[in-house]
Amino acid sequence: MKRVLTLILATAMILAVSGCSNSTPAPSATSSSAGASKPAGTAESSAASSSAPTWKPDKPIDFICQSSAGGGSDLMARTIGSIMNTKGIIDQPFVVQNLTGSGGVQAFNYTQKQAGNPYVMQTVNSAFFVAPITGNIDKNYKDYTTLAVIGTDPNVLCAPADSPYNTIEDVVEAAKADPKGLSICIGNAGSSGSACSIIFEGAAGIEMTQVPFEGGGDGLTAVMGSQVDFSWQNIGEVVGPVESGLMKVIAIAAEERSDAFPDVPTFKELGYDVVYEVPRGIVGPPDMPPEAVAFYTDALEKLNTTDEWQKNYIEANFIFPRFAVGNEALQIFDEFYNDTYNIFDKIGLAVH
Amino acid sequence: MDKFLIGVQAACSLSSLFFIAVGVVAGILGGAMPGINASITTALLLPFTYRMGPTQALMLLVGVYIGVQYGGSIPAILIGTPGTPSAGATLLDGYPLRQQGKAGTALYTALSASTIGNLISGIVLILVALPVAKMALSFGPAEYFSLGVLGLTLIAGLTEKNVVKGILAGALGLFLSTIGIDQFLGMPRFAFGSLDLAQGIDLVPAMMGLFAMGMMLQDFFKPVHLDSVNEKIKLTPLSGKEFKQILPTSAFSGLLGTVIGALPGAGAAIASYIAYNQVKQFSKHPEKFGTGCIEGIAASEASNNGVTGGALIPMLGLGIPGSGTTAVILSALVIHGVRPGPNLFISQPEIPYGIFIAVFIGTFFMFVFGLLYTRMFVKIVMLPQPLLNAAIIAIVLTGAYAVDRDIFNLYLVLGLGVISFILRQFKVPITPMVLGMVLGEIVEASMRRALAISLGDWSTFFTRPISAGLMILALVMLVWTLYRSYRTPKTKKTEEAAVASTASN
Repeated sequence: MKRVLTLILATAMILAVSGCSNSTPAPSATSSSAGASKPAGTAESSAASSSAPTWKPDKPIDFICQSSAGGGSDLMARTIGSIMNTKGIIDQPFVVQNLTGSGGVQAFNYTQKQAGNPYVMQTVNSAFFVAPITGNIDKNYKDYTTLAVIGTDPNVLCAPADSPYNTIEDVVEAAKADPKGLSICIGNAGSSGSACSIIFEGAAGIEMTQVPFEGGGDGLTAVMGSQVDFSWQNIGEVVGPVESGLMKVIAIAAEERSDAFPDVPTFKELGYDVVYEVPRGIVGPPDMPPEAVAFYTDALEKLNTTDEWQKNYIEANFIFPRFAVGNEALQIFDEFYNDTYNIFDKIGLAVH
Repeated sequence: MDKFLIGVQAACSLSSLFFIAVGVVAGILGGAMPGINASITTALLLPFTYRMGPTQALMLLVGVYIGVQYGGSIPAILIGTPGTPSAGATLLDGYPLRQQGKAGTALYTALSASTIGNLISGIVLILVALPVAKMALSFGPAEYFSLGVLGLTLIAGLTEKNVVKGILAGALGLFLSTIGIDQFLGMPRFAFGSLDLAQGIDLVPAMMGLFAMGMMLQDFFKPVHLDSVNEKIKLTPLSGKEFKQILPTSAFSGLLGTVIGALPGAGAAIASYIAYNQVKQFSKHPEKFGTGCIEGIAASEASNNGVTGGALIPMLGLGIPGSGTTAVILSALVIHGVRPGPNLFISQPEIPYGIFIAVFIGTFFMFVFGLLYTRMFVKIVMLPQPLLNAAIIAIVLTGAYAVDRDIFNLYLVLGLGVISFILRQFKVPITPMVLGMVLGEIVEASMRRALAISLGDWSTFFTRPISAGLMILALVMLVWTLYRSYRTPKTKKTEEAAVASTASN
């Protein structure tokens, strides 16, 4: 019966889509938060206080997402919304808004303009850190309110199933023998794949031809079909194809090996310092009221302890668990931003 | 055969049937609403699938996918604006038919062709899903570029009587597709410092502006009175003769759509335009295309529904999501611990084969609900003309905004509406412009990728066999189109009507 009801609601939602989209949240809405503002990015952790928060959302929350429907961040946002509601952690529905323009810049700007609004939060990906570095946006993560880091999503170096290269040594040797002769798919310019390529080429003293492909799917197709020699991919998207023998994984750009591929070494084990773990996280607009920050961090901590979240998101997508809120989360952002800055500065792309 | 039965078992349980039906209904409604496409509809339903079993979750999402492709044809025919980009070719003949008071015939043709397209793709899925998936992998950047070039020859086919104006419109469309951030260099192009323009021009608001807004403006200055036409609208199902007329077209286009759909980088909009052109060029009466020819509708609708089944092939067989919609379906699988790939066909055959059977069941529901909806939707165009136009403007602007909640889309709709109106005054056809936008990105990005891989060697487009084949086909189509337009006498009245009608679309 519950399922039937769910479905009726779902169908009703379809009809209401255009309606939903019209209800732009009033900026800086509620009463209790009126005067109180905090310096951005220094969200207070409520980790210690498990007492009932004083603030509660009383209308739907806009979840801004820079990826399109079906993308990695979109999936994260929708899973969070669904579990928050079904577990009764937050009663108000989450309305996921896919603002995909300019590789996410549209989403980041939208959130930036919602200063003080406790009904807006946003997903974070590598573009959120790269865009301010390369000058496509003038505010960086410090100008938002950090809510939580839920894990990291490292890249893996993949090759076609019948590729003659099985180890990093093979790759480096071949690339040295034939500079620019090997092609590697890097996603969009400024994506985590392009960062990985820059680090790897620097660490190994090699040069490859970087071929941008839009989105993970296009890169997968290219590497499975041997259109390119290598590709950077997220772990979650290659587990199925690798199990089926359609492609192989050579190494992982993380501190530790992944449960998905226990036999695949990290670059570090092999002597190449290639580590680039993109934090998956959630931020709010600048000056989010501290009561709201406390409420949301508390809710996200509860979310992190549910089996549904661990199973449906973390395990299903092979995310490296690394949950943090408040200053600890901000620290992870700091580290990642500095790493990313150095990478793009090295090749002259850093503007700010 | 055993696997086939396992699939039937999975898809024919009472709950599966129920979810397929719900999905189809939601899909048709979503598709019929301009601005709401397949990936948005499926993404909205995704959270509701978390608590279902994997099979039921898939039944629901596949149902939606099937429904959306058909739903998009309804506004294309009735108000001259496609509900989804893939129905762009449907309006070429669908809207002229509606203007002649034959909206019923057009809608029933779309429904029948969609049904046939689905059935064909379902058969392909069952028989050769895995080999087709492997074949799709041999399509690299060079092949996608050549496919795009083949698509561009359609510009000549659409505008035989005035190729220069067609090329002008096509070039304008290609130009519009270059606006935005260059994905190779990460730098904005033609944005003039505007963050809005740097986002690029989304196809949905562009189509709404070029088709609907332009038409509304034209109607304002030169009203076309359709009230007398509306009295003639009859809702009689297709006659046996009409059905016979569209059957071969639909079967061919359905197959073509399935093959193009299986290529992860192509998509439904490209498939429907290519199918439309192929059918037109090899038709015995190409001059009727664009004036309300039911074969035109059949080509477009059968192919975009064929894409539905086709797109499931790389998703299930390789784990590659070729579109936003298949990405959503893939994530529904992943959440339930199902990992697509050839192994899935052996380890959990109930999932791929269940989906294949669901395509057939969903098609049945689509047909039944389509018959019911047709009666309902046709009433919309019975409204008095001013009321209808006002409603169309409201729907179009709401839809454009809903795509990504960006107010800039409204300016785009209005701005492109004015451009479209001006072009219409000079009888410049609009469809080549949309085609340029659809193909622009794939042509440019694929060319640059292919050249990066070949280290700048242009011969890559002619030495790779599939790419060379597509290039030759493009050349043949071009020569054939030009030769035939040269040969046919130019004074017939029907042809002038064709030019006028193409221009107004």
